[in-house]
Amino acid sequence: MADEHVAMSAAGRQVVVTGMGAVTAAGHGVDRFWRACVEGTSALRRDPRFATGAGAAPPVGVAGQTLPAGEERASALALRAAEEALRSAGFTDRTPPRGAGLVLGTCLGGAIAALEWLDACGAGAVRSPGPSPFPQPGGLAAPALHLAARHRLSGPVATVSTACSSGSVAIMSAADAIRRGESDVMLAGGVDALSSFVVSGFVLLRALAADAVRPFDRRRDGLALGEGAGIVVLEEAGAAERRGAPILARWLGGGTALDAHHMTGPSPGGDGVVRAVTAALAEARRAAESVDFISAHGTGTSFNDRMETVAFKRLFGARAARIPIDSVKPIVGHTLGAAGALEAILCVRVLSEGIVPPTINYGEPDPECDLDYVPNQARRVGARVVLSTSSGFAGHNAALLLGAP
Amino acid sequence: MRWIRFGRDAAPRFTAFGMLTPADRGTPEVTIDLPALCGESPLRFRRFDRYGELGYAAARLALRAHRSDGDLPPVAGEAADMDRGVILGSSLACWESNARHQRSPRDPAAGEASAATFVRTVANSVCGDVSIALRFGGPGALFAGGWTAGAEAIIAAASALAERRARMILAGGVEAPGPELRAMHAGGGRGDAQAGRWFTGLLAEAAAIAVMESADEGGAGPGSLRLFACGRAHDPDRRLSIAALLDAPAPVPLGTVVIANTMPRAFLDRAREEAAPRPVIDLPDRAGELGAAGAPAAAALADGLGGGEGVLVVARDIAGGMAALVLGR
Repeated sequence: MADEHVAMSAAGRQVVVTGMGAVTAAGHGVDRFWRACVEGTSALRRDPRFATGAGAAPPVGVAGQTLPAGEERASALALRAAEEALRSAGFTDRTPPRGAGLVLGTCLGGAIAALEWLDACGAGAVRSPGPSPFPQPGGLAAPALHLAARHRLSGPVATVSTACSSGSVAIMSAADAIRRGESDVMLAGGVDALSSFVVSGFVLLRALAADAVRPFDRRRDGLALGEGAGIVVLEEAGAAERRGAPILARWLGGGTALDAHHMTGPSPGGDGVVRAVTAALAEARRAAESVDFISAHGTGTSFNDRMETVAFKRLFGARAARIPIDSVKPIVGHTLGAAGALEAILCVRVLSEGIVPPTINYGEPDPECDLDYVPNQARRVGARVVLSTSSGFAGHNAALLLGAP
Repeated sequence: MRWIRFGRDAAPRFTAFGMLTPADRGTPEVTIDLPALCGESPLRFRRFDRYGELGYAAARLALRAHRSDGDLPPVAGEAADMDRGVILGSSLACWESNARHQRSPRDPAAGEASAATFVRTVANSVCGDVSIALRFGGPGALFAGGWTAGAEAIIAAASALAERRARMILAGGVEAPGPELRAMHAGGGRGDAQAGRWFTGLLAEAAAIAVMESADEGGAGPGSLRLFACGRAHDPDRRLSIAALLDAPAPVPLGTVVIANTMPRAFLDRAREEAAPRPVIDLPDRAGELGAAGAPAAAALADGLGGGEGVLVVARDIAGGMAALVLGR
C-alpha cells in the first residue's frame, strides 16, 4: 500500500453529503422515513415482546420486520441502510473507492448478542450455547466490522459510543477525517436495535411515555424507544464533484460538549447544548442568525425538552421564537445511537424539499416550552442552514450544521 | 494509509500520564487501593462501577502528574470548563454493568435490577464519570472500536487541540473486563479456536490516560512528548508492514518501534527484521495485553525513553483495526 502524507493544514477541505440510507419503524428507505415524518404518521405500536412486569407493553418503533431471523440485528439494520446510502451516492456496485472509511455510532452495537450468549451460559438453560461470540460478532463494534467487510473498506473504521448522541458524533468524526485528509470518502451514521435489555432499563428510569410521545407539550410524560439505522456518505467536495456525484448538502460544522453535570439529567441551563452549538457555529464560521431550522433532540421527557428550549433561547435570543423546531421522536421513536444520524438525514431532506416536518401529538402548550415546534402540520420553509442537536446519558451533547448544496 | 502530519510547531503535546496496570503479571486485576492512591475518600468511589473507578483514578493521577489537580474546581457549584475535554477509548467498555443489568431480573445473586446500574450500561459512562467529577465541559467522545480505540481517542484529541476546540484533553484508554469476560474473550468459555490463536495472555484491567495540550499551551514544557503524525486503516489481512509505517513523516529520525497490542509471533518476527537496527518493544510482553489502554501506555513508555529520536507506536486489533502514532520531542 502506498502511503500518502497529508498536512493537518488540509483541514480547509470541504465536505459534502452525497448519499443517504435509512431503516426505521416507518419502513426501509429514506423516502419512507421522510414521508412518515412529513405526513405525521406515527409508526409506534405496542409490542408484547417488550412488556415488563404487570404493565401494558410500551409503544415502540420496530424496524425491519423483514430482516432474516438469526442475523445479528444491529448489523443487519446497518448493512441495509449502508447499501441504500452507497447506491444513492452513485456507487452502483456498492463498493466505495479504496481508502474509504466508516464511523458508526451506537449505544450497544452487537453487544446484545454477546450478552444473550453469556446469559444462556450462566443460566444453564441452553445446553450448547455455541461458540463464544468474541472476537466477532459480539461487541459494540460488530456492526461497523460487518460493514467494513461487506464494502471492503480500507480507510479508518471506527465505532463511537456517546449514548443518544452517538449518530451525530459519528458523522462529525467522519467529517473530521475528510477535512484533515485521512480519506476522501467516509460512511457515517448510527444504529441500534431494540431489546428487552434497553426497554427494561428505561422502565426502571421511569422514562417511558404511558401512551403517546408528546415533545414540548405540557402533558409530555416520557419517550418511546425505537430501533433503526441511518447512514450517510460523506465525500471531499472536489472529489465528489469530479465524479459527478449528487451533492445533497454541505457539511458546515459540528461540535461536541460534555455537560459535566449528571449521568442522566441534562444541565438545566442547557450548558452542554449551548457549548456544542457554539462550537459548531465556530467551525462553520456562521453567526447564530444564519440558522433557519432546528431538528431538536426532543425526546418528550420533561427535563430534556425544557433544557433544549432554554438552550435555544440562550443561543438565538428573541429570534429563537421564530425558528421552526421539530422532533421526529413521536414518529419512529427514540432510536438511541441512530437518532442523531436519522435526524441529520431529515435535515438534508428539509434543505432539498423546503418542507419542515411537524412535531405531532402537540396539543397543550407548556409555558416553559414556548417556541415554535411546528405543531402537527408540516410547513414550507426555505431553509439554507439547518441545525441538529443531540444529547445523551453521561452528558454527551452534539450539534451538526448542514447547508444547502 | 494516509498519514496526518501536524507540523513541528503545531504538534499537540503529551504533558502528563496517569497509568493503572496490574503490578503482577500473574494477577490481571489492578489491586491498588484506588481511593488511597488518589488521596480521596472511598465514599467518592462508591458512585462508580469498576470501569468508572479505573478511568477516574487514572485521570486523577494524570492531573496530579501535570500538577494541575490543585486547580480543579469543586465538584459542584462552578461552571464546567469548556476548554477541557475527555476523549477515551475502550474495547470492552462497561461490560460488567451490562452483564449485571442483563442478569438482574432472574439472578438473585446479581441483585435487583436498578436504574443506577442501567445508566452505567452506556460505553461512554466513563467519560461522564470523569467529566462530572472534574467539571470538564469541553469536547467529549468514547471510541469503542477494539484495541485501537485508545489510539483513536488520542488522534481525535490531537485534532481537536490542533483546531483549537480545547486547550486540554484527557485522552487514553480504559479496560475493565472482569474475570468472566476475560475468560470468554480468551476463548475460555467454549474454547474458541480463533481466539486461542490470538490471545497468549489474559486481557488485563488497565487505564492509561494522558493529559494532552495544544502546542502553544503555556504549561507545557519545551521537552514534552509531541504527536507529530498519525494514521489509521482497516487492515484485516495485515498487509500494512512495519517497513511501510517507518516511512512516517517525522521531523526526527525514528529510533524505536513500540507494538502496543498482542501480535502473532510471525508478525513480530517480521517487524523486528523490518525495523532493524531499531529496537522493537513488544508492550504486551512487558505489561500484558492492555487492550485500548495499550496505545496510550505505549506513549507513556515512549515518554520514558527520553532522547532525541522519535518513536513509532503501532496499535492493532484482532478484527483488523490499525492505528499508528509518531511521537517525538
